[in-house]
Amino acid sequence: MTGSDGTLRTDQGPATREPVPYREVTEDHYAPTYTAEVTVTPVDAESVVLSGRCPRCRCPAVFLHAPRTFRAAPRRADRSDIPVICTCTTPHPDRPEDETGCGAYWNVRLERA
Amino acid sequence: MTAGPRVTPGPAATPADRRAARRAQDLLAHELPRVREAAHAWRNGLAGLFVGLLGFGLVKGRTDVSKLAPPYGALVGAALLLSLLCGTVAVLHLLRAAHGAPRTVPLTTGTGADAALLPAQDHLETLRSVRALRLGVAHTLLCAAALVTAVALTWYGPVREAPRLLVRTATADFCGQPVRVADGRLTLKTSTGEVTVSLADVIGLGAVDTCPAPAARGAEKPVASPPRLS
Ligand SMILES: [Zn+2]
Ligand SMILES: [Zn+2]
Repeated sequence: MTGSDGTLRTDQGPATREPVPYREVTEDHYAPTYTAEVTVTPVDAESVVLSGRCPRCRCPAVFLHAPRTFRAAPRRADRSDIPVICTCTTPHPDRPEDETGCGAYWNVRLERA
Repeated sequence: MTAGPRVTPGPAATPADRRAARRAQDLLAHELPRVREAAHAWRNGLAGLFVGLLGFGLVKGRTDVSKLAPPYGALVGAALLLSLLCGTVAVLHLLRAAHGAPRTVPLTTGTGADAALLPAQDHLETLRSVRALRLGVAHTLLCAAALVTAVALTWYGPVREAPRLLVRTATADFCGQPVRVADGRLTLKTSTGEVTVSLADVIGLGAVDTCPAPAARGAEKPVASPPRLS
């Protein structure tokens, strides 16, 4: 599944077509497509960086998962299902001012070795 | 292939999942400025506490530590030293939390794991700053407690007592504060009243800080026996 178009792109995405419009959508194939090619880098005992491509817009996207932050309601530690959103920096049309990515979202399950 | 953490497809996503992910990203994006801001607020608040504490320390009270009975003078010194050390550690930690450590961070220009960790640097710095802030606050409170202890000991600690004389005669031992020596007789103020001993009867004499308790010196030689008044 690595790089369906076979070439390394910059964050402009596939140059041959316009960026997909911003839509807050999910599809059943997003999670398996994403997890098939994502790289997981542990940050510390509980945080990981997910580096992969958004399964919808195919832009590279880095997602920091940290269950603990300063002054935030603590999340339940027994859950390892992580909701992921597209965090690419491509200017997708119709995107609201305060949003990032193309609007795609999906869930992954984190497993510690 | 390393045996690190890995991700697999999770359950079907809902709009609530999107909002949760969005909110988590938002929090992470602004957590470092928030912790810096909190460290500033804590620093100012704790500084206010110390201004009040120092003003209170200057109000009134004994100021001469040398009048304190041992070991209270040494305890005051230890408390002040503890306060100084804790205060130094506290200030360093609070400044660390508010402004970051005075060191350079290697710019990771490489690829692979190093480059992937780049977006996590601010998060790690946040966690370190929160830890420094907690340590700073704890040490500040410890410093304040040690300072109050030192002031309280100086004000309310027992005063140094006059040395006692332990006088041994053939018949009994006496211990107390010497009142006067006149006409070959020594007058002691003991716990049971004034006692006068003829110096001619004294077979032993020693200075002690405190008199031993009467019961602690065995039964074979009564201590508080009626003094022989000469
Ligand atoms: Zn996308
Ligand atoms: Zn994109």
